[in-house]
Amino acid sequence: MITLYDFELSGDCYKVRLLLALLEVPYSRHPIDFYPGREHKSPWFLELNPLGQLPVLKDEDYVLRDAQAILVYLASRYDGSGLWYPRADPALLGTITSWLMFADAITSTAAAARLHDGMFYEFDIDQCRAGAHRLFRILDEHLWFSERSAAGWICEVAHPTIADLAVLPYVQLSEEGGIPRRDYPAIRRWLDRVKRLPGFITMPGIIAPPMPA
Amino acid sequence: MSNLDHPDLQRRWFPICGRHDVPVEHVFETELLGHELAVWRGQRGNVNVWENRCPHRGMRLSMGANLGGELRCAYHGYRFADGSGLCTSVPALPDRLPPRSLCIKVYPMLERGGLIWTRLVADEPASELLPSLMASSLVLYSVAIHSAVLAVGTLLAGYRFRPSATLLGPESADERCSTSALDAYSFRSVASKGRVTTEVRLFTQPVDAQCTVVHGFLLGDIAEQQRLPTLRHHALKLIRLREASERRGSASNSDPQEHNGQSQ
Repeated sequence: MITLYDFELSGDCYKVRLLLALLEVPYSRHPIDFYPGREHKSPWFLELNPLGQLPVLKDEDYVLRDAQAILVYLASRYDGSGLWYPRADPALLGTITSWLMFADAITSTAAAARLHDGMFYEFDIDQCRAGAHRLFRILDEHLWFSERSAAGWICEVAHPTIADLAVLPYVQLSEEGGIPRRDYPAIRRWLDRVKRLPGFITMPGIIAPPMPA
Repeated sequence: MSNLDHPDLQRRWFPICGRHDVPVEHVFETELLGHELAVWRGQRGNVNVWENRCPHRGMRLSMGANLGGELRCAYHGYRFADGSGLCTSVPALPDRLPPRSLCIKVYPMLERGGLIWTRLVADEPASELLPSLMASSLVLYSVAIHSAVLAVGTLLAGYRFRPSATLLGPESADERCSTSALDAYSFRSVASKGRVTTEVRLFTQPVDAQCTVVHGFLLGDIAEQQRLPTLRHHALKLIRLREASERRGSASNSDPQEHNGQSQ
């Protein structure tokens, strides 16, 4: 049985819940009081993850930290279609990994801005926002060209990959950190695209996809 | 800095997005001269340019759902009709006909050269400022620049690019490019090598006092295998122009007080 050490308002935890939902894999949630309790810095949790970060996944005896790493593991282990993380395609795997790194950079800018505004973290807010805008510009141009030459997913193949799920949450939540997306129309279209995937789930701040009723 | 409230600007047609920016089931958002717009394609293929504000509780309509024949506000589910902007249904009052006063502010729309155009004030017939027939073959990646519209125009007048047919080879000494400003907001740029030429039109959209979007398209035919390299070439050139413009802006606006004063 899979256990996810989880915080409802965390975009990094949410991306794991999202992949589990899309793959229809059952799991149980162990809620961690990230804010205001700082339970992720408590002695018992640091034993589980010395970095003191969420999420952590436990699958039987296997313990794994880092949202991006967890996406790789879950897709490799539980995705029968082999499309979310196509292990037989080296070039595509390289590209996916580069976007997982990009997702990490978004966490350290856009998600940091959100922690500053919403949970009173002491970050340099101007630097966080400027860094996020720099990444969003790169992402917007990339997605615009992906629409021209492929299907508009982050990787230029006909289907979404875990790269889309890794990048989505803190882009979609950016306005909670004072980072508007008016200047990124290709990003806005891509958000619609991901949110319309069958089995898509929401979290606070990520509303249901704008589906025709 | 131009005054964004000037009647000539309010009446002028500006491009606000490319046709690819408004696929079905999507609501595009932008601003023109500081006015927020929700732009969406209806099921008949027409494009609606609306004030981005629900008349009920002020929610941004760009957060809502494009249902094809109607746009549904994300907040309370009010629906507004494709074309007229009239409210068609209020979920809390299913048996009542919504009053005609419950209506979105609708702006005029023209689709030309692969771009969507609008203007804020439409008290006169469609302006001759808009080129009537433009055989656009390729809509370029639109680039948002954090600089005022006239400052961007100054740099666009020096826009340089390479003819599409030569892009796969190295640049040679006999390539030429020149750009002329048709007016402060539109530009004609021609690149050539011998008898091979590529012509583009570039336009600025004054988003607000601090932000400008550059739109553009290619005129004339282009070979299929040249399309993507051409799009990448112009995206790169426009992004470099954005860097130059923003560098220049941050140098001249080092005093934030002065900047605020200029933008109002």
